[in-house]
Amino acid sequence: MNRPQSAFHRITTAALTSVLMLSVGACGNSTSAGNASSGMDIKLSDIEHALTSDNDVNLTMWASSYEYLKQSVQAFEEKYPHIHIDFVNPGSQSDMMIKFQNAVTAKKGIPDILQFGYDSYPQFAVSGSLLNFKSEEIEKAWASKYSPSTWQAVHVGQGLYGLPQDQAPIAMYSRKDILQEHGLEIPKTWDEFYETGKKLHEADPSKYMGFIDVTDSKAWSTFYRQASAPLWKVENTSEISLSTDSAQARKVTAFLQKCLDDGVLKGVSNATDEFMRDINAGKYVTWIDENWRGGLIEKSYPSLAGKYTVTLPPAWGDDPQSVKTASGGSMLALSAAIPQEKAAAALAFMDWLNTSEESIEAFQNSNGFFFMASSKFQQEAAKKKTIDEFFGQDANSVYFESANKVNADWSYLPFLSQLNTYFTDVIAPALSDDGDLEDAINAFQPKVEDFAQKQGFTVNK
Amino acid sequence: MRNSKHASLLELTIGQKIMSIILHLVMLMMVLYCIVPLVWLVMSTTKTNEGLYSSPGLWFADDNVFLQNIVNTFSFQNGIYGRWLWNTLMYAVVAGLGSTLFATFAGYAIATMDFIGRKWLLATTLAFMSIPSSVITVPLYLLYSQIGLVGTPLAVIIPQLSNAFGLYLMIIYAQTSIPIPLIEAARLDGANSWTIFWRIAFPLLSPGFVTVLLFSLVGVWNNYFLPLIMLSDTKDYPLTVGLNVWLKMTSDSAQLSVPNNLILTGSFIAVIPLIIAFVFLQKFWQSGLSAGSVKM
Amino acid sequence: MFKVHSLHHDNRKQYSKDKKQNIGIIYCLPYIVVFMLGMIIPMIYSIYLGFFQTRMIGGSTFVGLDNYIQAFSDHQLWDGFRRVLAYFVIQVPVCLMLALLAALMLDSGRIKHLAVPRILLFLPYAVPSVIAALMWGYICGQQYGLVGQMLNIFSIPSPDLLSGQIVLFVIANIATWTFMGYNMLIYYSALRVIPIELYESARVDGASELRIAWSIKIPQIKGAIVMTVVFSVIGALQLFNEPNTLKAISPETITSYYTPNMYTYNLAFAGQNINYAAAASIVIGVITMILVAIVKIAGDKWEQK
Repeated sequence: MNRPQSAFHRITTAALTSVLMLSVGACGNSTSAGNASSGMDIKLSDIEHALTSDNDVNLTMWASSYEYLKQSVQAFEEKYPHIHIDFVNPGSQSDMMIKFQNAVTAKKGIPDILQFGYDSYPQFAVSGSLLNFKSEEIEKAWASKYSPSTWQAVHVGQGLYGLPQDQAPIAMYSRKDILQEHGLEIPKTWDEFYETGKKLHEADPSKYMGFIDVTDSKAWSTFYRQASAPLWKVENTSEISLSTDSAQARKVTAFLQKCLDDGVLKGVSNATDEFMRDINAGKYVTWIDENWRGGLIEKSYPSLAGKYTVTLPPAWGDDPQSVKTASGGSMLALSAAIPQEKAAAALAFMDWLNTSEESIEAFQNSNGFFFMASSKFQQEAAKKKTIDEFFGQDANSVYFESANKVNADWSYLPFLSQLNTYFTDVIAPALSDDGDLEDAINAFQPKVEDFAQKQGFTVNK
Repeated sequence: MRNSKHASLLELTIGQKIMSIILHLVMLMMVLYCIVPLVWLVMSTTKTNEGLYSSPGLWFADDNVFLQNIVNTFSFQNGIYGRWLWNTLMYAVVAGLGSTLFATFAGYAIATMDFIGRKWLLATTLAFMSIPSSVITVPLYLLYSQIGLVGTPLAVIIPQLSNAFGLYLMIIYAQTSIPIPLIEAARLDGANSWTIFWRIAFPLLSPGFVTVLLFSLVGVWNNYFLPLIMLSDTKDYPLTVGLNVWLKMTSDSAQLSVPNNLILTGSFIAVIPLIIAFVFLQKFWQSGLSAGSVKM
Repeated sequence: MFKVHSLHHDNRKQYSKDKKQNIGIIYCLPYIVVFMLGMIIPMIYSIYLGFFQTRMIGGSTFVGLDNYIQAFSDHQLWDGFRRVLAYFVIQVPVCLMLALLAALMLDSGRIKHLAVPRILLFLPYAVPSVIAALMWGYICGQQYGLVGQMLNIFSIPSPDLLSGQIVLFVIANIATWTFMGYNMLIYYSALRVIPIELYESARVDGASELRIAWSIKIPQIKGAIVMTVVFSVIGALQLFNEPNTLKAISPETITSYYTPNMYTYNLAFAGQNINYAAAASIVIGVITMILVAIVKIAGDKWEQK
């Protein structure tokens, strides 16, 4: 009578045991994944050889820009049939980051090659999930193949974690028709921007000169990047510095506060139906964003053709020529779990995809405004003067100018998703309601600091 | 006497008429509350992307592109939407049907038989019925990745095969609708247990079966959290996750932007099959609910 | 959980007590297997994970009960609970009363073409919450939404429904919209099986429909009402899809710890803190069980009155 549930008992015991065994396996050697990988020695000759050898290699790749890339990937497979790419579309970038993190934690189903934004890969670099393939040889041979700011952007500390794919320099899209209506000019400096915006909002309180997107920290932090007022710095893979309260940063904060108070800027989410309608109605007169946005505006609002003008974003200080810009874009990285014998073939493929003549052409066919990081592309495309019908001007030349003025003295914190969480929790409310921005930023820094320390980083202030 | 009675009758009818008008008005408002958002959705499916921003929400835009939108939704990104619809159907049918069958077997056994572990099973089911499934989604992921299920449709299907609430409903339903003497008699006639279940019990249980089936279909059809975490390839996504990917893509630089009218048309198509299922199976599930509610 | 007593006692009379029918185990086996794989084992695993801590730099270490202790004093987790409680207080009475009203109206026999409103009220239940949030996000849009457009006709400035505390009402509204018809049907089904003799004589005596509903019908469906309240408790504590979808529209209002479930999700996937997320999940699960038990006991007392 003491054991009437023996069947159950056995099942639970068996299940429990297997769970415990599984999880011991999961945690037993996890310390090895704790630190940034020290690198794998891959020779250039191995990489070149990988293309000509006849060893079959299967590589798995996850990339959010699936649609843009698939033509180039197909072209590669046709040219080098022994290298097969299992190309998976993992959904949006944020979903892919979650899935990659999960795969790494589970040590199962980890892809070989991943496409990341320049701002989103560092967290995987410092945790040792991405391969550091830096070597003198590779630096020497490949650095010149890419624009300098993108080559810098694939490094964290001393490590090299990927090959640049595209570059997305920021530009300012202005509704010149509305400005003209009010007798105003497109501003060239941030002071002009403020003055113009103040006049505009006084003349028509329903209109704002611009907006700050509050869905993530990018738009907000771009102001500081443009102003050469870094909010943080990544010293190496285990050490960061925080400087959101430096004198320069506080100057930018005060300026933003002034713009918010006087109806020049408004904090708003740019991913809503309401926002899209507001743009159609001209509520926000300027839109400062990465250059792919031009293509989206063109697609979404065909009826606004001829009303927008593309210029460089405003400059800090009095001299428009001294303007510094920012840039996004994406790169291809290798998972640290890739077997040594596959790594050379993977790098050969990545190199081909990002810099070869054929691939560049395929990219441009699949998407007219894909702005590649390869110097070959940049030199060739810069020569071509094309008039963009929607904007009635040569928008590309503005993008190139912006790309050349990117403030490269900027690093991305190695925990982007958590940073964005703190941003929306603490700073976004101050941007969109009547909060005090400086107070918010003062509350923000200790949170970031606490998180970083708990994750094992050394934090300088 | 007569007069006054007549008058009161007349008054009553007037009162009833007013009452009836009020009743219908209140009902009309409730119905409007429920269908206005759906009307907006239907209207949106007839518009171009730009028409969405330049026309009133509850009325048509200048040109009606409903058919074009349907075609575009199914052909966008090489017809990925069709894949999602198919996946959703597959997950819903396998997990919905499976969980309902399992619950029916177990519910029948618990209601009509005494066996070792019966009490134990009953108690655990009742205790865990109130645990929100989302609480265990994260550990579920880690566990399933250890046994190599993550990234496969099984990772979405297996957890949804377990339906403690469905089992609870089936126990109640079996208790109220299966006369034990009938089963005893069949057993005395020499019928084996499996035959008794399918020949006698199952027909009696069918309204309850359809009710539990429909509600688990809705659960699987509308599930978002589990497939979001478990699946890594967009080709395996169900509609809820797929549509949200489209939604995110409109503001994601790395992606093709998806026109909003396609997202809305896709949402509209996603809602249709369930509505059809509910309308056509009305008779079954309503009698199932009524019988179930005797005990509830 | 419901009618636990009846399941344990009354029904003893029902199944044949004379001999054990262990074939019953075979019938339960498929359910037991998926219940183990889908619920019990993950729960145990979750408890186990809660004993560890993993850092981006430094790996994984055993920390004992630290995560659980931290969860109990985590003000963000409690903030989520408080909000969910406020939501419960706003949403549940409104939703259930509307559902009850609709069910009583349908049951009164005075509504023409009864089947039409019955199915129309139920339709929103078939709409995935992600899509429901999308639709209501539009309707509540300040300037172009329906609410805004209607107020503009009367020159009333439209409120921004999607920011500030008011967004909780919008979320409550989405849930009410989705579940009103569902609860209505549960009530309606329960009302249909009340023996008509119970109120026939009252009707003949001239009692108003309102009076009959209040004194006869509602007391008869107490069991169904208790059940819907219990569902609502579980639903409130599970709140995730609606606020998570609205976060895209109003990121500045809906924090990462807006509801307990959103908090654990963000801990696990944005903060890469799987261990603490697991511990917090267990705490949420235990609190849910306790709350459900309290509601259930109170409900049973009310039912027996």
